[in-house]
Amino acid sequence: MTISDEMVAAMHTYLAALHTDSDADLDNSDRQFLALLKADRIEGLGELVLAAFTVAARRRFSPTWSPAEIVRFVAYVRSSSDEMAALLAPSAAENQLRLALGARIAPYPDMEARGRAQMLLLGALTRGYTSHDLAAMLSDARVLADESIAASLRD
Amino acid sequence: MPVTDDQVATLRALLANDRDRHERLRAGLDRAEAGKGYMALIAASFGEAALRRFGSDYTQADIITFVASLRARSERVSESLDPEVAERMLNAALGSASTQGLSREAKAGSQILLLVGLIADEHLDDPGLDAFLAGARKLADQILGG
Repeated sequence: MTISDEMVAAMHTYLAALHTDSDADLDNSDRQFLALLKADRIEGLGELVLAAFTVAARRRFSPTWSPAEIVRFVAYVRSSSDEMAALLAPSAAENQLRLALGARIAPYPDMEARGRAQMLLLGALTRGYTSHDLAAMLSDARVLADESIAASLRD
Repeated sequence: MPVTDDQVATLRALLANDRDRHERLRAGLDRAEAGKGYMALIAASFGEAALRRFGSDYTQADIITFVASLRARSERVSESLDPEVAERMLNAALGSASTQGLSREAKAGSQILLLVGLIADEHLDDPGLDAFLAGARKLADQILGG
């Protein structure tokens, strides 16, 4: 199994739609993900989300970062709305960002909360991206996700 | 048993960032009395400071931003102060959340860190700090007496 073109396209549509506030774009994104789900081609999506999150985090915080920057960024994202504040747990968000940036810490907390934090932060990290930026980021993420899947074969 | 002068002086030294004096006074506090009076004084001071800072016209974004600004000041504070607990404690102090389920230690630890941060941001002079503590002491005595 490797990351498919359709999966990358669905992620691209989803992230672009997030920042346009267009119902039609979001509907289109839903349709693409549903088509993948129906065709049972969703395997690897978790790896792609994690890889996209990692690439976007490194782009945002490279070349150097401090824990204070992470704290401020997460607070900035959470303060965008009460809904975001409730959905995005700060400890999980900070933990996932620090891990993505190479910190040697234990993942926290459970898989579901970590996945939610990655997805929500990915939306915030890609705010302001052009379609070209998104394509470039997802291209890097696809390679990283494929490598991660390949590495897991040896586990 | 009302709040004692020693307890007020101890908290004053902490809030004035007079570390040596605070450590000396803290070591001299009667452990049993401090367990009630000093903790009540901290709780009352925290509630008072939170109200002064946020009033009634605040948003969750204000709370989130304040907690983050405090945690971003020092890595030690960042690691010690759980943001979810801190936000809950502030919301509870402002009357819009409950602290049910939080341990006594978690509540006390976050109250002290938040209180120091809130007062540091006020840049109170000596009379201002004395007036603040006098109000908090009165409130703490009411809590202890009630």
